[in-house]
Amino acid sequence: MKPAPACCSFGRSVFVLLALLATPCLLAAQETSLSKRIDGVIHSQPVPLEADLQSDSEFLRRVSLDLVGTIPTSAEARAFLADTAPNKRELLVDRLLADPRFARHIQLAFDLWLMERRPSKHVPIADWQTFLHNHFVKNTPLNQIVKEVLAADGTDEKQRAAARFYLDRDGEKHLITRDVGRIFFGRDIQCSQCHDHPLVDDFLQADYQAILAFFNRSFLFTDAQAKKSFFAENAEGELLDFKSVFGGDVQKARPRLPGSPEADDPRSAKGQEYVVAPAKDVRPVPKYSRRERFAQELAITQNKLLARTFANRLWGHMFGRGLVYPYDMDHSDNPPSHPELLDLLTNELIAMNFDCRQFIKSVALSAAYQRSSTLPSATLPDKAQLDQRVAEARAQQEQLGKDIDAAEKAMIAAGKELDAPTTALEAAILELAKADAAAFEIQKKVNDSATAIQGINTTIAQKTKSQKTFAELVTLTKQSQAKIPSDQAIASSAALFEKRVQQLTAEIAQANTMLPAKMTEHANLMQQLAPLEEAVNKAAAARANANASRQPILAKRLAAEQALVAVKKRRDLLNHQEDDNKILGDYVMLTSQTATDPGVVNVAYEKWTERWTKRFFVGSLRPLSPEQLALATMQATGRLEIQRSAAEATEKAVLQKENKQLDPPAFAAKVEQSVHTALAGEVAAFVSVLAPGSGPGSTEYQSTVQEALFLKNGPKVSAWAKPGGGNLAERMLKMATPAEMAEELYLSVLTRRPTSDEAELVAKHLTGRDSDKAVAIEEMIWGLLTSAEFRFSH
Amino acid sequence: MRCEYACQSTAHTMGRRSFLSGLAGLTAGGLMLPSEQIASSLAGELQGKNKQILVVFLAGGVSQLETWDPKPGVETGGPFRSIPTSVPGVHFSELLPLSAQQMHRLSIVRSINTKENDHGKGSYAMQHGHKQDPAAEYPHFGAVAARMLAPENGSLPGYIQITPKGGGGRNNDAAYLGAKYSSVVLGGGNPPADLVRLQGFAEEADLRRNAFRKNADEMFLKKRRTAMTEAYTYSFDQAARLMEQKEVFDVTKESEKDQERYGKYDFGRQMLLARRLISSGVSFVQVQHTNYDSHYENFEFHIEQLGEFDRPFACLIQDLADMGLLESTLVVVMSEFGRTPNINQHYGRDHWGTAWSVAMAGAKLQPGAVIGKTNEKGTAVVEREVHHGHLFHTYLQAVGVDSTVPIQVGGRPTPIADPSVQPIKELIV
Repeated sequence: MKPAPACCSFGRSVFVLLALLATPCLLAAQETSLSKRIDGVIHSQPVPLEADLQSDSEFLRRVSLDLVGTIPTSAEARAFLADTAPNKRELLVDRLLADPRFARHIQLAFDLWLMERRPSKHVPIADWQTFLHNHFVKNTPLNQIVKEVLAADGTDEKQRAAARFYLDRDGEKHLITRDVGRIFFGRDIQCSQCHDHPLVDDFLQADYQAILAFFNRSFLFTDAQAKKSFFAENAEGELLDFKSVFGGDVQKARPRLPGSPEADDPRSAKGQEYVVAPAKDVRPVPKYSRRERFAQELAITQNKLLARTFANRLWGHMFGRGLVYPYDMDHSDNPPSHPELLDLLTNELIAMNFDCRQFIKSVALSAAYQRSSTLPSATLPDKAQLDQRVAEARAQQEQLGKDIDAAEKAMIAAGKELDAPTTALEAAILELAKADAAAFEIQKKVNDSATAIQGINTTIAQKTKSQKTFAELVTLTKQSQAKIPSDQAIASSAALFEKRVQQLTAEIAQANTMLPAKMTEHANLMQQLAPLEEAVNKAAAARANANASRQPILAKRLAAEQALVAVKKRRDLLNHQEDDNKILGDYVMLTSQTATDPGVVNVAYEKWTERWTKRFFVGSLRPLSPEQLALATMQATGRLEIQRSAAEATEKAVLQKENKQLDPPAFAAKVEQSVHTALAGEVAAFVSVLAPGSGPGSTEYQSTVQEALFLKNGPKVSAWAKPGGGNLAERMLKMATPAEMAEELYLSVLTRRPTSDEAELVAKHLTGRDSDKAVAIEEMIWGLLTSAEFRFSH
Repeated sequence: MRCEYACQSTAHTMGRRSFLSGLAGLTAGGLMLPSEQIASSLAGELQGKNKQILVVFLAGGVSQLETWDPKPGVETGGPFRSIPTSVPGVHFSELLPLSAQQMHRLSIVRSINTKENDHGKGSYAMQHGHKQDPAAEYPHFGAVAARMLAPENGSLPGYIQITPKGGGGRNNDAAYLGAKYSSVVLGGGNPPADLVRLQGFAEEADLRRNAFRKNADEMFLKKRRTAMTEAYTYSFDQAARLMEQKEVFDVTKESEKDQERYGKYDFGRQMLLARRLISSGVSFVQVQHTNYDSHYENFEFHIEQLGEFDRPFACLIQDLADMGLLESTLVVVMSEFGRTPNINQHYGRDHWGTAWSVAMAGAKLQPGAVIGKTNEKGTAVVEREVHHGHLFHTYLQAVGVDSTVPIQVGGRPTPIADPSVQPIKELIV
C-alpha cells in the first residue's frame, strides 16, 4: 500500500464527516428543541420495544448522580415527589445545574478524561482540580479550557496547574502525542508511531508524526534551584524524515492537525529565534512556539474534531457509554452507534459555544435519557404475537427479495436504455466542438481583418486632422507674409507648412488606396464564416436535443438507483427487526418453558436489554464511580448532611462575626467547598480500593473481592450506618412505627418509597429486636447500601 | 486501502477463533460480556490444569557469577569456587549448595542481554516483558497471569505480591487489564486489608444484614441484571469465602518443622507463605528479597543474601515437587539485571544487563536444561542471546498460555507479550 500524501490526514472518512458537519441544519429542525431532535434521531431506527419514561423517583436519582455526583436526601426526595408542577423535571435539572456540586462533579469528569487518575509528579492534584473547578464555576467553554491547558508551560505561577497535562506526563513527547490523539481527537494512534495502523485504515503514521512535530521541540525543564519543572521548547529541531518499519517511501513530518492542512510554521532568521536563548540551566523561550500554535489550532480551527470528541464524552457522562466506544476508537471500523446523532450533537455543541451546562440540560430533558432501565413485563409480546411478527417479517422479506431483484433489474435496464442517448449526446458534443473549432479559426481571421481596417481608418482620421491644422497654418502664414513680405522666416515657414500639407495629402491617399482590398478580404472572410456559424448553431441545437431526450431516461436511471438504495435500506431495517424478533422470541420461548435453566434465561434477557440499551430504548444500568459511591453512601447514611450542617453553621458564624449579609449563591458555594474539603479523605479511601490503577482503561469499573471486603469489614461504612449526630440510623431509631422507618430508609438510600413487600420485610426484620434495635437498623442500612440497586445507576 | 500487514491477519484469525470459542462458552450459562467471554474461555481451558506461577525477585540485581553462571579461576570470577549440581556437568557458585541439589528440577538461562543497566527500567522490562515505554503502559506479569490463569469465580486474589516491608493495599500494576487484576499486596507478609470482621460486630448481625442485602438484590435483579451486577453481587460471596479462607495468609499455621526448615527470618517466612499461597491455589505469587545492589563488598553481601535465599528456595522447589505442584507451577528467580564481571576498587560489582542469568523451574519447562552461554570471563553472551521479551513468552508458554495470541481488551485485540520476539522453544517440553 502506498501511504497517503501527508495532507490526506486521517483518510476519507474524516473528510466525509467534516463535509457532513458543514451541512447547515435544516431550518425546521432549528425550531425544535435539541432534546426532541435527539429523540427524533433515536426513533428513526425501528423500535422493537421501549421502556417507559422513568418514574419521578428514578429520574431524581439518575439525574442527581449524573449532575451533582450524589443522590438526594430523603427530604429532597419527598419534596420532589410531592411537587405537582408539570415542568418539575426541567426545574430540577436547572436547580442541579446551578448547584455548586455540579461544577465539582463535571470538573472531576473532565479531570478523569484528561488525566485518567495519573499520579501527581510536578503539579499537586488539588491545584489542578481547583484550576478546573474555577472554570466550571464560571462555565468557561470546554474548548477554552482545553486551549489553556495545552498552551500552558507552568511558568506563570497563577496558571501553573494548567500545565499538569504536560508536566505530569513528564513532558514526554510520545506520551503527549498519543494522549492528545486519544483524549482530544478520540483516536488512539499509538500504533501509528512506527507504521500506518495495521487494523485501522484511518490512522496513518503521517498523522502521528505530524502531531509529534508540534511537540518534538518541547521537553521538561527542571530548574534545579527552584526545584520546579516547567515545559520548555527549543526554536529548532525537526523530526527525522520518517519511514514505515514495513518499508515504503520516506516522508516528511511537518506540524499538522489531523484533517487539516499543514500548520503555518514560521522560521525566525538565524540568531533571531529566541526570546531567551538556550544555555546551561536556562529555560529557552522561542519567539515562535509550536506548542502554542497547537493549542490555538486545536481550540479554534479544529473545533469540529474537538467538539465531536467532547460531545461523545458528555453523552457518555450521561449514558455511561459514548456513541463512539471505546472513547478513543473513533474511526471507520468502529463507527458511532448513531452517526447522525453524533453529528447533531457535535454541531449543537459548537452552536452553543461548548457550553457543557446547556448541552447536559438538553440531554437530560430528552426522552432517551429518561427511559427506565427496566421493561415492564406487560409490554413483552406473547408467543402468538411474535409468531405473527415473524411471519409478517418473512412475508415482507420474500416481497423484499423480489423488490430488490426488480429494483436491480430496473436499474440495469435503465442503465442499458441510457447507453444509446448517452452515446448520441457524446457524439453531439463532439460535433459541436468540431464546428466550434472550425468557426473559431475563421472568426479569428475576421477579427484580424476588422482590426486592420479599423487601424487604417484611424490613421486616415488622424492624418486628416493634422492636414487640416497645417492647412490653417498655411493660410495664417500667407496672410502674415502679405503684411511683412521681406521676412524670410515667415516665407520659409509657409513653404514648410505647404510641403507638410502635400505630404499628408499623399499619405491619406495612399491609405485610402489600401482600404478597398482590405474591405474585400473582410467581406470574403465574412462569407466564409456564415455557413460555419450556421453549422455551430445546428450542432448546438443537436446537442440540446440529445441532452433533452436523454434527461427523462437519466431521471429514470437515477430513480431506479434511489429505489434500489431505499429497498436495500428497508431490507437492512427488516433484518434488524428480524434479529430483534428472534432475540425476543428466544426469550419468550425460554420463559414459557418451565424447565429452562434460569441462567440461560438470564443470558437471553441480558442479550436483548443490552442490545436495546445501546439503542437507547431501555435505560442503562451502570456502576457508580468510586467518588459517586463514596458521596452517595455518605448522603444515604446522613454523614454528608452532618458535615453540611456543620459547614453551614461555621459559615453563618463567620458572616455574623463580620456583620455581613447572607448572599445565597456565595454561601452555598462556600458550604460546598468546605464539605468537599472535609470529606476528600473519605472519598479518597473509596478511590484507592475501587480504582487502584491509572492511565488508559483505568476508569472502567471492575468489581473485586477487595471492594466487597472494604464495604463489609472496612470501618467507614459500618461507622456511618450506626446512629449518631442525627443521621439516618438515629432518625429511624426515633421513629414510632416500622412503616415510618421503612419509608425513611428507602427514601434515604434508594430515593424511593418501599413497596408493601419491602415495608413488610422491614417490619419483620425489626420484630423481636427491641433490645438491639440500633443493630437491626444498622443491618438494614448496610443491606441496602451494598445492594445492586444502590451500587448501580439505573 | 487496508494494509495487508502480517500482524493484521494474525490478529484477525486469532480474534475470530477466540470469539467462536467464546460463543461456545455462552450457552454454558455464564453471564459475561464478549471480551470477558473470550478471556474466560481461555482461562477456562487452563483452569482445569490449574497452572500457577511463583516469582522470586532478587531486587538490586543478583550477581550471575556468584549464582548460576560461576567463572572460577578467571580474573572476573571472584573468590568463590564452583560446585557440581545434581545435573552432571552443570555447576553453580558454592554460595548455592542446596539449590545446586535441585538443578535436575531447574532450568537456567545464562545468555540474557537486556541492554539495561538502570534499576527502574530493568525491573520494569523483566516484570512486564516490554521495555518501559512512556507512551504505553503494560500490565505486570502477575496481572497478565491473573487474567489468563485465575479462575473467573475464585475468591482468592489472582495476583499477590509479598513485599519485605510496608503496608498492604493494592498496586497500580494491571494497566489496561483493570482493577480486578492488579496486585493485592501482603506488606511484610501480613494478610490483606479488611479480611476479618470488625471487632465488636457479631457474626449473626453480619449474616442478618447479608440476608437483607440478598433479599433486596433478588427483587431488583428480577427486573434487570447485567454481567456487572452479577459480578458485583457475586463479589460478596467471594469475600465471604475469602474470609473463611483467611488462614491461607497465616504462615504460622504451617508446621513448626516447615517453619524451621524455611528459616525463622523474614524471607524464610515469606517463602513459606508463598508456598502456602501456591498450594491454596493463588495463580500468581511474587516474593521479593532485597539488598543485592552490591557496588561495595559484593562478595560479603552475596554470602549474606544468598545465605538467606538458598535454603528456603531449595526447600520450596523440593516441596512443590513432593506435593506434585511443580508440574503445574512455574517458578522463576529473576532480578532487574546481573552484575559486572569487572570487580571494582571497592570489591564491588556494578549494574550489568549485558550477560546474565535467570533460573526457572516447573510447569512445561525442560528440567535440568541450561540455555545459552557466556564467554570465558563472562563479559559477553556467546550463544542463544535472549532478553526480557523472549523470557516473558517462555514463562507464559510454560504455563500453557499461547503468548502469541492477542487477547481482547475493551474491544481491541491486545498482544500479551512482545509480538516481535518468540519464546525459547527448546525450553518448553
